[in-house]
Amino acid sequence: MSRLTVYPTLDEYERQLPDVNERLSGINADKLKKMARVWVGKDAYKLNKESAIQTLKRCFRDPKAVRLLAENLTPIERDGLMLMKLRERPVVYTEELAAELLLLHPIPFNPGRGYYSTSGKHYERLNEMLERGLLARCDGRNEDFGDSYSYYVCEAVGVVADFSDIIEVAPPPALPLKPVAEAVSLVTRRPGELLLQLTSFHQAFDRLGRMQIMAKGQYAAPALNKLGKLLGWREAESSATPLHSAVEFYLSLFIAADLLRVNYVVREISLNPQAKIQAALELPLDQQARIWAQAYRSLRRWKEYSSRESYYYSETEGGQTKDNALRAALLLALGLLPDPAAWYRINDLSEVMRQRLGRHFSFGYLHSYSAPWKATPEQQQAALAKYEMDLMVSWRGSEQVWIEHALAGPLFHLGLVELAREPRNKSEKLTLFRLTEAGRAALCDIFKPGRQPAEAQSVSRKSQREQITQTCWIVQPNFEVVVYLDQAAPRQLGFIERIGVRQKSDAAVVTYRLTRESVYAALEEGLEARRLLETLESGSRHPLPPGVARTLSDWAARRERLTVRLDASVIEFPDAAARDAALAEGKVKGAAIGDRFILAEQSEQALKRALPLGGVVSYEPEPPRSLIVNDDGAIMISPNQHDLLIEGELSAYAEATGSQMFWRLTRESVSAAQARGWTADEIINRISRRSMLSLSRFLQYAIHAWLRDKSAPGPAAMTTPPLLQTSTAEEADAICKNVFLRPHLLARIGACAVLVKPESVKDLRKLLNEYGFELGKEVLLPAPAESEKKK
Amino acid sequence: MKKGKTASPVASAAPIAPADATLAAPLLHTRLTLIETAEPEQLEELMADRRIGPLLVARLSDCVAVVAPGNAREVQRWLLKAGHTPRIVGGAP
Repeated sequence: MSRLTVYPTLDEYERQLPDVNERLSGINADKLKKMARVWVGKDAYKLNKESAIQTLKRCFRDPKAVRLLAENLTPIERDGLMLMKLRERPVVYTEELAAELLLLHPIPFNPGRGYYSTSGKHYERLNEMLERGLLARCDGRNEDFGDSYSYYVCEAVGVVADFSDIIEVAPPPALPLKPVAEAVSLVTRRPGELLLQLTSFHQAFDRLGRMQIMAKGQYAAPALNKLGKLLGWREAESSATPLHSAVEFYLSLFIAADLLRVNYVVREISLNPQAKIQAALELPLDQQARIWAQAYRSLRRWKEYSSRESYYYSETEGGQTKDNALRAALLLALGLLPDPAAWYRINDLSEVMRQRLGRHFSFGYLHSYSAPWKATPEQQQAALAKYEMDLMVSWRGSEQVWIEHALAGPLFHLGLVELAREPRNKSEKLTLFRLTEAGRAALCDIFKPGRQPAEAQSVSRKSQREQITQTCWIVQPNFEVVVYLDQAAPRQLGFIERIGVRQKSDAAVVTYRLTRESVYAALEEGLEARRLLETLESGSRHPLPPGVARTLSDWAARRERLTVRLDASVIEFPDAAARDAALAEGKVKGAAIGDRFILAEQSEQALKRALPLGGVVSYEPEPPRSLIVNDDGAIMISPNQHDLLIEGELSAYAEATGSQMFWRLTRESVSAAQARGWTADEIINRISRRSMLSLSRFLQYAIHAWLRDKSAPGPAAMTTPPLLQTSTAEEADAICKNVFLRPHLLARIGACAVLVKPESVKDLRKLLNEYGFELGKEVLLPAPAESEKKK
Repeated sequence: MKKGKTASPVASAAPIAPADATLAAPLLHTRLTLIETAEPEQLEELMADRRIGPLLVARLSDCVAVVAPGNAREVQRWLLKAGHTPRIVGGAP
């Protein structure tokens, strides 16, 4: 059995957050005192281990102590707790918070004695918070991150006390970036395009139902292909804003947004039943943008770009990686632009990020500064210049390219940024970016406390109502629906994706075709026929063509005429009077069927309580085995196993013999079944499922033979030619090779057995007698083996 | 069932279940797949279909028949293929 790799979600990490008692007792006294000092000041050093634990536990629970501590936090700690508050949960991915803290509070460069190792410093700010006891690792361990002897990094950390009401959200200082005055060749993602992509992904996954994953959590290629086929997306790698492996990207995005759920035990991805996906897709774009930005930051198994250098350090598993760290830093940097509505150079943004992160963060090999032993100031200067140059070259070749891909790929496609060219730049490359309105809402406005969520929600509901009544499509008499994306509300797009088949789409217009199958699928998913027509009409710029409206009604009515009931329960009564009495007395809820049946609406338990049942027969996953089948084809229904279906099943391929309890398989009965479309294998399978004992091979051969199919028994013979037997194989050899005896022989059929031509029996006997062979008339049976004799 | 065959006039092999004198008390049959039509003729038509008919093994009334155990998916597939658009009720989500 292959090893399963499980990557918990933040919800699961939250549940794993170690118990305070358990965690504190594992920390040594010195560290505990240091942690207690944060809460109670210098007096902490007078405490022993146990009293330090008790003090910490009391402080964690005491709102007054928490408030007091909040007033004395360092700026790093305050920002760290604020970044967690913005996430609205007590746990955070380690990589994300470490990179964000490093961006906000870069570590001063101090070459010291001619050597500066950056190993592990990426986590330095986070480690400070761990050491001071403000954060705890979700794995319950107490070591710092970035230990050079361990590559293992616990994926998540959590806060030890509830600071959410005390820590205020305030925008950190803006980055030192200079806006660009003019931008040309603006490339914008229309909101409708994004909504269409998100909606179509949801609808396609909903149709797929679930998707297989591999043992280590990778997406299974056949399932990805199937999803891609349902989506019908084309990869636009050659465009200026490529999003490679778009299906995998959106899959990872929906998982990170907790709209899809990964079940590692059964190895499949399915819709999260708790998530209101449709409701999320119907939120105004600025609110949706926040969901998608957060999900993008944490998404796994998809990366913007892999440089050659980082290839050697690639993290192939599905956990949090350095991509998550850089995504977190990039999103935070975008939220700290001096003027959120202005254009900026991608290179400038990258350079600011390099200055803050580059010395301690790299996808690949991280350069260390080292000057020669007893270096002169000039030599130190030269070594420092080389170190800086190496860092810059490495960043520009790897992290900067990654940032360019992130802006032109996911951030552009999620509608968070728009791109442009510089007026005097001859290159076609999009070198400028600007936050969109949704991008500003998701990345900048989160630092501005003001609009309450409830208020925002009511505004969104109002705008939703306005949107849903908008006319945004034209329904043509040929069942094609032309949808204008700019005017379509998310709910309308979701509706049309459900009832139609997408034919073609561009940035502004999408064409769908209403087919019987697509409308049927939508009705089966729970859409009411009346609502289907109303919604189609309300979104249409013109009245529905009469032919289309009539046909849609016909399709819906046709569905109502035929019902397949799965997992139904039927009560069988001895006669109509008993059935009617049970219904009249109100003992059973359900609908009468025929003369003596009720289609029950209650559960089995409820029915057992309501009626004196003679028994319960379940037909799935295996029907009752109520048949006794003899080798000769005679079948008896076991009198103890009364079964509603068995007679009907038998009547398809067997003949009743007098009583309805006795049946027989005959050539005629199976031939009649064959005439109705049955095959021998189907008959055998059907009897085998119902037979108490396995069906004899002889009867199986007989059924195949009666139907003359491929598995019928091969030719057999009962021969008349006389048999010549000898005592040994050598004697038989001698006879067969003899020239004058050979014309009398037909074939050798064994070591000591030869068939003789019937007309030669007399002549051959004479010749053999003549040559001394004594011929008896009895068949020579082989002598029993020694073991047989003993038995 | 063999594919590609057209509907045959062969009558249903499963007559409407008559009263059962051997039954002393009501019997509960669970986990059944039923087909319910609006008119008896529609059910006759289905029972005469070469692909769907053999899968219907008991007829409870003029308009209700029971599908052979283990053939629920098969019968849905054939119904759709034959151009029917049945309403699917119940079953695990």
